[in-house]
Amino acid sequence: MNLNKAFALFSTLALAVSVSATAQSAEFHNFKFKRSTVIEGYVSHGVNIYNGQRIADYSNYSPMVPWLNPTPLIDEVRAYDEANNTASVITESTDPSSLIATSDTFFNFMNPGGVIDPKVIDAPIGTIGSNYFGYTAATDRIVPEQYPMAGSEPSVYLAKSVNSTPTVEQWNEISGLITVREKPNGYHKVRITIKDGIPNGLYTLWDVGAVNPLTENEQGYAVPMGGLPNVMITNEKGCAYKEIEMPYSIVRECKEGAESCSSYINAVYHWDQQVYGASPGQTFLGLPAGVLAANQLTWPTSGDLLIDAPTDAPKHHGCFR
Amino acid sequence: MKAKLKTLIPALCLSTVALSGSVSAQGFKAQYVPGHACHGGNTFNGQQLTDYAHTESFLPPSVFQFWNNFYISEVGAQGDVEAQEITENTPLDTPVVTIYSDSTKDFIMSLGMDLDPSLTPEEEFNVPIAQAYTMTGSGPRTQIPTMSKDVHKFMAVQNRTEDITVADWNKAKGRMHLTCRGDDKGSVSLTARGLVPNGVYTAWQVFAVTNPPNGQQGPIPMTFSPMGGLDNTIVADKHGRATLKRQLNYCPLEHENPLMYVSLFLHWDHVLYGAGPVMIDQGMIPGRVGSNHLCFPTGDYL
Repeated sequence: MNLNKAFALFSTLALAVSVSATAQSAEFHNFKFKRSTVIEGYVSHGVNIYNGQRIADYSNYSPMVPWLNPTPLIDEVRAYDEANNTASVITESTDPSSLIATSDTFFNFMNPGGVIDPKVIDAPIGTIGSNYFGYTAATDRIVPEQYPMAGSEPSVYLAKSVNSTPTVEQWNEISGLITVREKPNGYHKVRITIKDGIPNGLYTLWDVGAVNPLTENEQGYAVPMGGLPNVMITNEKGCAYKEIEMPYSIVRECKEGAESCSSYINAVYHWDQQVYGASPGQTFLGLPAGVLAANQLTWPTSGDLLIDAPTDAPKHHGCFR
Repeated sequence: MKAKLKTLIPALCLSTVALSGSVSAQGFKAQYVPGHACHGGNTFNGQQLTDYAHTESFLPPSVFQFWNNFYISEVGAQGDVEAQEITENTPLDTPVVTIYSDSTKDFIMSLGMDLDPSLTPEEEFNVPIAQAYTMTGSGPRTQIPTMSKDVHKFMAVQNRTEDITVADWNKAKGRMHLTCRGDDKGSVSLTARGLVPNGVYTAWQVFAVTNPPNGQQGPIPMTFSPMGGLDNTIVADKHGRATLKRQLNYCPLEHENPLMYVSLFLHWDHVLYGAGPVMIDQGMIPGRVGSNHLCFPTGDYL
């Protein structure tokens, strides 16, 4: 082996080792920039709730934010009981083949004493339907048919492979990964991957947190994650990937004296095939979260975790493997 | 090897289709349709995007008359007092704005509707679409600030910081492949680029109605529905690219109720209205909440 060939081989090996090291560590660390933070997603049945249990305890971080520390917890989906035409809070003993159903807990929490159409409560989510051209109110809806047989007459239907009536087992399959990395310009690159969500599903992302945490002025906030639009669409396998650049860190410390801090990021599934701008629903029109959409995946960014993540986070970002 | 051949043969077929326009053999039909930037339904620079004159041979006269004159302007160019319709003379650096155009008013009237002016407040028009009003949890629709280092935490913001100009808007282009297997099955495959980066779109199929179900003819010989069914949402990536593939329960190339165009409708108000692109009865009209941005007129090839 002559010197040139030896140098070329050494350079190739060095490059290979360098690439390998970067690839191996890319999920958790980047040599050029500050440390990356990886956040694991938690299957959710509402606000900070899974199987009837609290996902994280915020009492040491944002104790005054009502929806982070409610009693009882705020479920947004329930398990449908077909025999009795009712629904109950999902727990670990729930029959996994039960259909996912709507809930009025969020509505009652946000609008105590408010009246909501009882027909839309404790009903399978596939019965809520969507608005249609010519409708006269937000509650004037049709229920799209399942993908029709070939040659059927024109109608409003769901795309092929959309499951409008998922079971508890199917709801609980979702997993997610968020990676946050600070860039040299002070912005933060956020990568988000959802796997095994509802196929061809419509999701929005939200940043939920506290202003003036741990002070007498503490208040909650919920804003579109990364600004509008905050829509994410899953493919036919239930996978979605998104990159967002943000001027602040979603993992900034939640401490006294902080201007604000994020409590969690969440992915809201919209089974009515609609989104509502800067709000996840239309609570005061009788269409709150729990009736047309719900938290399906939560990435806690502060708080003390109380349970293990129900599903394993994706090992990689993206939907290519 | 067999598996590879199975994937190669349809690919070769589609390549042939793309080059030749359309083919038909043994029940398999296909059509390639280029996509054009549009300034509303079947319009570009104040003119009809597609001349449907050739449909006279198979559309009933009244249906043909409607389609041969159909267009609706849904985006405007910013004016001093009110939005102007975009024409070939509009400076390309003019911001694209919301508009309540005369053609939109005519279209709504043709549906037999008479909108109360209070449903379409003037302040929501002649507004750059990056600053368009949106829905909030409670209270009236409002403008929300764009994201910046000073305005970001604990309030809703838009992540777009720059206006969209007429030149930006006109960059949209795309390709669509329609295929049929027999008379009652099909598929659509669509790619787009030059869309608004991170923009939220819905895809629509628009038909001329010649033989309506149950014989019920509507006020206009047009019907539309979500392309391939709900959910028909597409989110452009940060480069403005997007794709859509859907199975169809009909052949999009038949003449009974012909597919006149497919379009990607941009929702600049960040609201998705379900099985319709807009909400006319509530005043959420095209031009106020969004617009057709990329049109795939199929008429020429029918």
